[in-house]
Amino acid sequence: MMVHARHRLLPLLLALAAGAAAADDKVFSLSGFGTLGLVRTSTDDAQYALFGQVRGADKDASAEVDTKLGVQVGAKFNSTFSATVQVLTKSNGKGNFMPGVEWAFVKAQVTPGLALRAGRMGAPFFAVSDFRDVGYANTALRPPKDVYDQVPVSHFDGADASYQLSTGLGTLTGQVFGGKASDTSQRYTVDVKRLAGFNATLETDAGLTLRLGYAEGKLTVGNAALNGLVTTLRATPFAAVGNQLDPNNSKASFSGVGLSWDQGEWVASAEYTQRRIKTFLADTDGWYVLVGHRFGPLTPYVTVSEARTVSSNVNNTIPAATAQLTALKAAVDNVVEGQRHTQKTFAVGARWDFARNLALKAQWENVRPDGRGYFISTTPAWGNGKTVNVISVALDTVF
Amino acid sequence: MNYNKLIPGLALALSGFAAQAQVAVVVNPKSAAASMTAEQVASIYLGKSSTLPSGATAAAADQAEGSAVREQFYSKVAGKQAAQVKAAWSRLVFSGKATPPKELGSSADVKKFVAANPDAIGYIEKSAVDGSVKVVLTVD
Repeated sequence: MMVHARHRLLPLLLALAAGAAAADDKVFSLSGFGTLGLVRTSTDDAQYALFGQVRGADKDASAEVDTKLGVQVGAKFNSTFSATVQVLTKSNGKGNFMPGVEWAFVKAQVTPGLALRAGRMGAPFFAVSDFRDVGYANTALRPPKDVYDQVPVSHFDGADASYQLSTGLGTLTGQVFGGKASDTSQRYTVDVKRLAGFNATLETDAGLTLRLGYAEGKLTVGNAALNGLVTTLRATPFAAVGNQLDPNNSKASFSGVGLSWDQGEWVASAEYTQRRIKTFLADTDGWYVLVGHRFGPLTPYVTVSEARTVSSNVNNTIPAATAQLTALKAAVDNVVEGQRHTQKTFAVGARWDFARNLALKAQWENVRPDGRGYFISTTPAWGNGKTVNVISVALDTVF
Repeated sequence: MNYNKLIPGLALALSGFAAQAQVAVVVNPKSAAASMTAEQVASIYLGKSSTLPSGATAAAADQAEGSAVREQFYSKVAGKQAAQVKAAWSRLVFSGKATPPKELGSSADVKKFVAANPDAIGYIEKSAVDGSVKVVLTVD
């Protein structure tokens, strides 16, 4: 599915890119962003990776976690119609840096307030969804994992409508969207069908932005081993446990509220999010609060965040009556434990705008997971989790 | 250190800066707008609004990145440093929401652009103002 979409989009992208290089700058614009990042942690018993990635950092520094490059071509055909294509390369859920078409949409600005878009576009699950990969656009080194690791897809194919209204309080933007999303997360395919949602943002003249969003869809994870376990369980008296684990067509929803403040020397942002899924994936809550202060080109910041599993969605009623049942029970427990994401993070960092279009960032995180948290590839020595210190540096650019 | 000598020197230096820093926001002489507030101008230049007070879609012109007049304009009108403005625009550009103002090389180019387009808006040093453009806001 993804491959076909990519093949259809590539010629369009190449045509646009060629146009951008050749044609005059009134129609086409070329821009891009990139990050060179390096991460290392205080443990070899697990790896620190962004959600979906198959490898990450441990005591050996990794450049894979944050390093990325995005190129965007915009085309403005007239005052109504425009198109945007963005290609992004980063360490992905297949374990490579294969560039992918992150966005490819056409936009019709029907009236000064009303815009319609169709194609592939950023899925607005979070406050900074659209520019989460643009390090330069954000104060912190990366969006807090405790919140942003909850959703394994970043874009969707479909359409949206947004309406912008000037009110006495500020600019109010309402967006409704629908379509489908697919991606690969830790080598498993993830498909969200019948994805629909809304997003409301109020941006006041005083520098405060409030955001409320909701999305739902039918989630399928392509996990053969898990489907096998579900089939096995359905042939036992514990079919209900199998049904709870079923990774196909599960109702999934994601909601979030956020606020950000950027006025004068202070920056602050906060989000609270809830993921609710009727399958082997857990229901999780995630929140963060970031506060930073500008001292000229230097912006130190502090982030406090937490990820919490509120329900595993699986009630493992299998008794350890026989060796076989004990093995089956353990298999279910193993799946459930693998999806439990509970951790607290305290991060201190700084952004330094040391040159035009360049920002250098450094961040220290103290992560306290309960179980695996959001760490991957845990070894037996990991036990039930340990406090991990994570050091990251990143150089961000836009062009 | 002799502070008595330092302070008048500092004051002189600062007043020199202030004189240099006068920036005029200009529109086409045919524009209906007689004056604009700093908030109105800032919202166009930070991509929060795309329209002039008349309701027409603004054609905004920027000065060259790194130029003194541009630094003064953003710090006085929007209260933002160059890097903050760039970060704000990268949020808009990389979400496909807006296109940044057209960057021109000099105040002469800005005047030419504004004089030729009834919906244009730009900013130049106050000393560069002439009859080809209309001043809607002056900051110093």
